Amino acid sequence: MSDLEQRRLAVEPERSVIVQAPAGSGKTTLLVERYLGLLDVVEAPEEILAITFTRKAAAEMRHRILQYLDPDFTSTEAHEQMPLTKARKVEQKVAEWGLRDNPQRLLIRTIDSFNHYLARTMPVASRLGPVPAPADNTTALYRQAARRVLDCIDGQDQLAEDVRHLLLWRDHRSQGIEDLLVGLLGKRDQWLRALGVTGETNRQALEQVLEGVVVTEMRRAERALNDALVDAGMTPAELIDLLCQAADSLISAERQSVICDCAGMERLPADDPEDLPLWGGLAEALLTRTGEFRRSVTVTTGFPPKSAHKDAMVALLDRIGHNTHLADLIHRVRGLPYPRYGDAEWQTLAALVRVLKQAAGELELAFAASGQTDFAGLADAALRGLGDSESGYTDLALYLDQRIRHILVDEYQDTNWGQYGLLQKLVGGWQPDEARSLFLVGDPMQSIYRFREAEVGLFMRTREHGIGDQSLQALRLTKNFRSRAEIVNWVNQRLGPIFPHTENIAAGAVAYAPSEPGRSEGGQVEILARADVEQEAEAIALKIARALDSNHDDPDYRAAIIVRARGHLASILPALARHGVAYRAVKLDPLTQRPVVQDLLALTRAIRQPADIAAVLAVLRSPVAGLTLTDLTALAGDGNNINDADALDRLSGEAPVRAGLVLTALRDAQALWRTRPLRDLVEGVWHRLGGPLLCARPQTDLKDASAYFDALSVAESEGHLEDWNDFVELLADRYTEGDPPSEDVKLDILTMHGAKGLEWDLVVLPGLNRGTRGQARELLSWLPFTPDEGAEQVLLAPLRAAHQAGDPPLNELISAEQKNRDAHEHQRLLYVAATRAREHLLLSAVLDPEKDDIKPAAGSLLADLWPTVGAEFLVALDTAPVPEHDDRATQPLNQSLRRAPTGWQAPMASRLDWTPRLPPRERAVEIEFNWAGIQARRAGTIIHRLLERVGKIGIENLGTEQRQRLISRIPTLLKSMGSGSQVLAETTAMITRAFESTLNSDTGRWLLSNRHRESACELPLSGLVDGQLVNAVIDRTFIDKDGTRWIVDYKSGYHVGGNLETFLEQEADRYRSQLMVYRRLFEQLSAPQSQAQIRTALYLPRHGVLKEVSDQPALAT
Amino acid sequence: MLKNDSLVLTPTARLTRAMSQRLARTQADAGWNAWIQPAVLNFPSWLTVLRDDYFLMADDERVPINSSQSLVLWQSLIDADIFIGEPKVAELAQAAWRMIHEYGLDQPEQWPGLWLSEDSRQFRDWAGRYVALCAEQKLVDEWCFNAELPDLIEAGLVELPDQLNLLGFDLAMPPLQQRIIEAADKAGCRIEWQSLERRQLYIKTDTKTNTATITRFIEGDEELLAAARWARQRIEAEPDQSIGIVVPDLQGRLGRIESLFRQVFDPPSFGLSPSGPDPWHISLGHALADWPLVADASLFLGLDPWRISQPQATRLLRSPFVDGWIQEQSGRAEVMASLAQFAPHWIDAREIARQSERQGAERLGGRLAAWQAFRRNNAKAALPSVWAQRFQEELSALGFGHGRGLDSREYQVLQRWHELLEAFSELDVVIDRPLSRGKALRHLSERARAAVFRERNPGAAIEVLGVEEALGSEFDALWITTLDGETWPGPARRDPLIPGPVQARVPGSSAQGCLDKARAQLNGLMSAAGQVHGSFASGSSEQPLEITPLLRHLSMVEGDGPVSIQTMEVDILPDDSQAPALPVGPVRGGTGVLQSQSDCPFKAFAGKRLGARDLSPPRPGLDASARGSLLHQALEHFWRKLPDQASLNALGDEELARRIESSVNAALDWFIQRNRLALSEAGRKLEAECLHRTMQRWLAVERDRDAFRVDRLEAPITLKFGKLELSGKVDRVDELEGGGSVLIDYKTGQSGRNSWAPDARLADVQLPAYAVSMNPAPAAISFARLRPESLVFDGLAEVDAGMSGVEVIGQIRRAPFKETESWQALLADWKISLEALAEDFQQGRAAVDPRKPEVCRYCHLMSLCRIHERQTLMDDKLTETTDE
Ligand code: SF4
Repeated sequence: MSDLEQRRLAVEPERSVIVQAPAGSGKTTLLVERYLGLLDVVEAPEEILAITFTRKAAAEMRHRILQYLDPDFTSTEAHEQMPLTKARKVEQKVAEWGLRDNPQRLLIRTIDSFNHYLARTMPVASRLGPVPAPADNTTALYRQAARRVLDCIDGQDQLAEDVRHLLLWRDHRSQGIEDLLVGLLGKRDQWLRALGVTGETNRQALEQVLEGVVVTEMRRAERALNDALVDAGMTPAELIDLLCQAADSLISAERQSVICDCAGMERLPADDPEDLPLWGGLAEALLTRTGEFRRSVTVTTGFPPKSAHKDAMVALLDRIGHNTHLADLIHRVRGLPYPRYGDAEWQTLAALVRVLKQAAGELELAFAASGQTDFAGLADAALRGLGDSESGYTDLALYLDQRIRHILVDEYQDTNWGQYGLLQKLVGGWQPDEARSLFLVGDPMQSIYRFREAEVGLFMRTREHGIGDQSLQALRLTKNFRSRAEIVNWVNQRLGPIFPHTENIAAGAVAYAPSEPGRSEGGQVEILARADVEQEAEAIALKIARALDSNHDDPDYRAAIIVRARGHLASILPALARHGVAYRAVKLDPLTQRPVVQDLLALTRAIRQPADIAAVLAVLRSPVAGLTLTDLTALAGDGNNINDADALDRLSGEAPVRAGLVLTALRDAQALWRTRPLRDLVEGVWHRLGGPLLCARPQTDLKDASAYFDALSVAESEGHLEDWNDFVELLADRYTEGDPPSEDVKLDILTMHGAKGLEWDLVVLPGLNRGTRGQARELLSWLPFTPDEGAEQVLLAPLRAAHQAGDPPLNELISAEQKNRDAHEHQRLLYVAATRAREHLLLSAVLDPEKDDIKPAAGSLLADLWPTVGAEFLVALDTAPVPEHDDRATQPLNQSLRRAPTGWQAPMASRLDWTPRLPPRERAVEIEFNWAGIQARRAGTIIHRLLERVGKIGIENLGTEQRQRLISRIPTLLKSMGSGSQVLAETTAMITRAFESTLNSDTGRWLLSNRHRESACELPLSGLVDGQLVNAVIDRTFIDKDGTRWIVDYKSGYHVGGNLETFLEQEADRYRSQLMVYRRLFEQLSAPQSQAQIRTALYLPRHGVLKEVSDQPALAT
Repeated sequence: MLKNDSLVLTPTARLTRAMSQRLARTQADAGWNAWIQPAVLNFPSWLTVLRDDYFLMADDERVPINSSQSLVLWQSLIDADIFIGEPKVAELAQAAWRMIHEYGLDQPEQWPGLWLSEDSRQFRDWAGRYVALCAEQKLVDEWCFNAELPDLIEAGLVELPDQLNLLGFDLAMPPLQQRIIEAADKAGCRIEWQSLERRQLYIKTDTKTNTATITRFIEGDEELLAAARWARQRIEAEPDQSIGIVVPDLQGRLGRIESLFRQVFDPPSFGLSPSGPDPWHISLGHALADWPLVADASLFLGLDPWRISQPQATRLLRSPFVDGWIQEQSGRAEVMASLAQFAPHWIDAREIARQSERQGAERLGGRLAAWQAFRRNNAKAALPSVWAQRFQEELSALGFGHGRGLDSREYQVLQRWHELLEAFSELDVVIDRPLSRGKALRHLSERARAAVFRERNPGAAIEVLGVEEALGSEFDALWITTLDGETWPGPARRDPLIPGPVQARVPGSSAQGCLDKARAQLNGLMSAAGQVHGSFASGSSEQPLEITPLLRHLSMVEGDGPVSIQTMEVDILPDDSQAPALPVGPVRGGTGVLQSQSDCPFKAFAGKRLGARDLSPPRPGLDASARGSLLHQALEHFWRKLPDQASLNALGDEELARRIESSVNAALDWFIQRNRLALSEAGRKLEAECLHRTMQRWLAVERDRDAFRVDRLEAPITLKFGKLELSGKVDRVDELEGGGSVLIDYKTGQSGRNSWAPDARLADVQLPAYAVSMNPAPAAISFARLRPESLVFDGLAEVDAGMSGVEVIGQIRRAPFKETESWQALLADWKISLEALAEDFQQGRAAVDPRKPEVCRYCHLMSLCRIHERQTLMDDKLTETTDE
């Protein structure tokens, strides 16, 4: 099928396909076109789900779809015609859906956001409850969970024993184990899945898995050995004889060697694990340490000079020496573990697995308690919510308005098991008779997210077996519309062959699929080699400068330097600066490496912990004050205390002024400590001292500062500031955003992962000779693999014991396989990087010309390239210009002090002078919560309400029945206020008493009479008192028959014991000012001439006493 | 005159407040100093009033419960084992329950089975049990009761005002509210719909006549800043006006708004100078739990006096609310510092008290003792009301609230906290069994998290508010932020527990509903003021937001980016790496001074002379240095009782084991005495076992060398290099059989003899310094490397010392010692380097110059030495020189 034909099939709405779309093949347009086509066949847009790899991709896809749906959009580009036609076709529908006004209806999401969406939709089925957005900073919670588990050691249960076992195994390095647990919790989806594959941790079963692996390897070696012997015209017996003789000779010479195990051997080793020692001996006899056939043999391996068996051995080696394949196989067998766990090892593994599961459980609790989760937690919840094949898949129609009938997945090569499982379940819920389709697109050659457990094998697996019941038609695009022909061809010819010839799903080995150039001829691939990094940097900078220069009239011309790791840029950045090339670095630097961030960190520390002298001094040394070392010494050095009252007097010249500004600002921050967020305090001091104005590179620095402030805010609100270590850990994960995009900057610098999906005219790949850091150690090693036949299996091993100097064979086996898989990914990484170029690709490496045998380091990308491009690199090295002598001995660090100019102080804008027109009057609040008064307060409230009620109808109108009804309500009212049964009866009686005695007393009846003029209960009265706005509620007021205005406040206070009068006086004193305010309000309410005489009083129903309160306290008698 | 029988009803509390504020202004303007407040209530408060009135008189034996009480009931129904996020699941169920009543949806028992997802089936089950539980306990929750209100009103069982004036209901009322109004109408209450004077709508289909513009910003902060500046300008021109700023995601941006508005309106206050009242007010606050006062109180209540982590201790020591803060704050900071340096992660109240007394924070020490006593008494489970009492007792014991004076906002928070405690004690009604402290605190803090604290509005001219609150209001000018495509319309949110068809009529649960709601809200907002501005921020991420499609016909202008600041040219002192020379006199500390000087001169200066100590707090568990010193101690102990190798060899296995054990125990005793909570019992056992194991293996190494006699242990030694006098301690000095001595340094780290390679900057100075200071010079020096995976001697000797791993100078053929001619030459080399280092230190040479990059990795002085700045400066310099 032609490329065109494949594309046509790929967008047919109801055809399920998996499309391999290599770099530059126009994948996004395909996705969009397919989506537009699907709109035509669905009843609602929610029936289509599109999953992208990044949020940026989701936004872009949404944007493009909406663009096509815009009736005003037109284009003359050929490749836009099909999508446009499809968009026009659905115009009517789109209008009916209101889709353009409501683009939220387009279900285009990343897998994480879709998981979130699902989990939130099904809080019960997912067992997660309401889900907040996943937290950015989960490390502190991982740590909390790890600590909880480690804290268990004093228990009596299995877990305690397990933790103790683990600690002993690792020499009680509990902090180290904590760190390792934290690391593992971050990727628990991976090992939990692996543990799920193995099921119960069963020794026998696991050993069987291991044995399977070992036996397979042995069998392979056995076969190859036999074949080789046949080819070499040698019988097994002859080889056996040689080995036996060698063993004998070693034994008689009392030499230690694994070859001695071959003494008396009767057959060649086969696939029985018991034969492993024989294999070891055989390997030792034939192979060097590094696994190549020996060129000759010596007495150290049992072949004394001039012995007959030595000659025979040399002859054999001559004949099979070229067979590297055999050598590899034997070498691998020699490293194989005996397929049984040692007892201690097994116990450790079993304990470890239990501990890990517990840690995962603790993490869930920690998440629940803090109302957070992470992506793994969400994915897990979503999967749970979707049900499974046994208990049935969830019918999403019950949760969503529409069933999801069509699924599109972008970047499918970077799918992981979780996502695969999700698709399986989504598809599993599909009814057989409904219209539905899958569209998976990606490029296995660009799968580079192994560290996030992207499993490129899943692409191949899906292509072969489909997903669930859905089989998919495999399609492959071949046209590359991005790169010029020269580049496409070069990639085909030079990168193609380094890919494995056969695919291997388990190992993630992807075969190369060639592309055809879709653009015109031309383009350029260039190889560059230099003798050291400085020369390389210089050459690269020069090339880029020239390229930019010669293309300066093309405004769209862009170049990129793409590296594997930031460290590879150390020489290049200065070189670019030397050549005046401006660049934009994207997310490369850890935030804490920025000077401005260090300044802010110092401020943060100085405010958070004023006794942190190092921090206070750091602020004093920073540009805002810039104290010299002499100043600092005078202030705090050699036994001086910076907190001395006269500390500043020890300084001279302008230093006291400089220091004074800082110290006062810090003191002001202390005064506001915990009234504002720490972020605001830090930012405030920084601005006040002119920090932003003293930045060396304001644009970038301010961005970095704001990234730091954001981190600080987040840390504070999520509680990561309590333990400073948490904050440090949180910061360590943050990177500078990088420089903002700019029209004038033509060169981007970024990592290979960051470059994915982007393109430039010129792409430079420097430092291809560089290796990467080794794998980090983990508490648990796990290796999922799928044997040629049968289901997936997992190898498991615990981290070696503390006293073991090297890894045991099982761990080595696992890590060798991991490395192997990494190696496959390297090839793909190279492919991704190289295919970013449109016009010009430059590959560069540093090679040491002094060496006789120039070879790239293992693990470097150059090592991968070497078979096909090595020769060109050598030529490039030969033809490299000899540098003029340039003594770049390590330059001493700059020792300058940068600081604000003398006498300068940061300008400060002025405050908007404003006061509220009617400021409210503040009420006093007791510091202590008056718990003892709870019941009394409740009683008071109820009495109030009862009296209000009576006052409203007037006591004269209160019938017995009504009165009884009110009394009968008291218990319910009390209960509704929260009184429990213990106090109910007592309080009820008390209220009843007070109420009854009021109703029965003369004072009470007078108060509650409705015969008064202008009476009111609970009267809301407002006004201005001393210029302040007062809102008051008057319990009871009226004008009595004498024309006196009474203002009465009910108080439920009660006094036990004698001297009621004193108590009443105290109450009067307490409420006097309040009552006087009421009085003022009433005075102000009416014109002076019409004013009645006003009297104010407290009424205490529990005593049945009306206590008049005058404006002056009674004189003590 | 004192009669008022009409009630104004509003949809929001804000509108109620705005009404009375406006009234206050008109009254004041008219010269009145007092007036009677007309009755204005928002709808929810009115419902509460109706309910209270009803229960005051009604013949109804049910007890009304509030929402936190009903939440407890919901919680009791949900299986906390399955839902570890249980309290929140209960909130979800409660929300669904409310929605059912507020929107008059079908009751769960009526839901057809076909519609039920697992979630709604589960909820139906919970709801059934909830109803039964309420019936059994004769309780009625607020929403069940509210749903009865229409009937009760019609039946005349609830008192109503004569007239209801409905004000500001811009959006359609939820069905229950409608029914209540209708019922009131039927019951004879006059209903008046009042509308604020409507302005001309801004959103028009005719784009040509429209003049409104939307400003686009990049960052959300820039957008807020612009709004604030706009408001300030308006107020400067005319102080007496009302301005609204609508921020849809108010909750999420509270912190930023506060900070940015302060920055615009009160720059001095932003710079932490004292300030006056703010002309702006945010109509929403953080959750009560997030206010420092409440957060601290909650923390203290949960603190276990017998086991306190250092981060917790930090909170206690730095809490300005604890009595004595004003007098003791710097003392308390010192306590924090010494804990961080010398105490383990876990400590107890006694330890804090002890340190407090030492650092002049006696008041805190005393408080802690009193507090601990209360804690001891308050251990048993109890009812919520009892806990409320205990909680206050404990806080009082700490002198909580009596630290620094509270500001007005904190007083309000305090009051809310009291209300919270009171509300908590009300849970007695629904919790009949005593609670443990943990459970009690959990209830309390759940409530603190759910309760939002709003600061009272003292009549600010500018209000920052959410959409709902702004609707129905009237401003002189309004700025609407966040008019982006993701917010208008927002995504449809179905209630997950209610089947879709049941909730179809709830706006916001369907895409169409959201769209309609967004349109209505925008219409409402656009007409809430005579002048309306709109803006949105596209965000600087790679996925810029666009303007809401609902307003895309409006023209757009670009907002100001970040203010481009005019930076100051800094003064540059080209070299400030010279500190004053050290005054004469002995220097405290051992070879660490020289080690630092060698690693990085600045580090030596800052660390030793400026006292710039490292205050990173310890982690739980033993760190490498603690474990190293334990091993040191144990070995010292061991050798104290044994003179030489011969006696070691003479020990039988059992005796050896016994001696090791006693040494290990002695070391651990010593350690635990100083760090009581550093090791738990099991931890101690584990450590003992590991120490034992290592010692056993190590002593085999000692047996494996030539005969020796232990000459000195922890031998003090005085060192003099130039003018510098230092003192040190040698771990061990052995007398070799063939004469001569060997200095031994126990190392649990990685370093080996290569760190003694002759170099002006010695990588490891200790043994070389001792070696050159001893007279006669030792014949050998060696690390005793005590790592489980590598237990060996690693050293250098003049002549064969009979120790494998200790190699003889002159016979070494590998770098870095292959060139070294003799032991004496090596010692002489070292001496020169060491004297130079000493001289540099003494002279105050303090260049920032790490020996190798790794030195910086664990250095706490990066901010002080400005290493990162220096690195960038170096780059620049390189450019300059090549440019020439
Ligand atoms: S961070 Fe590095 S340069 Fe700075 S003082 Fe420490 S060791 Fe020296």
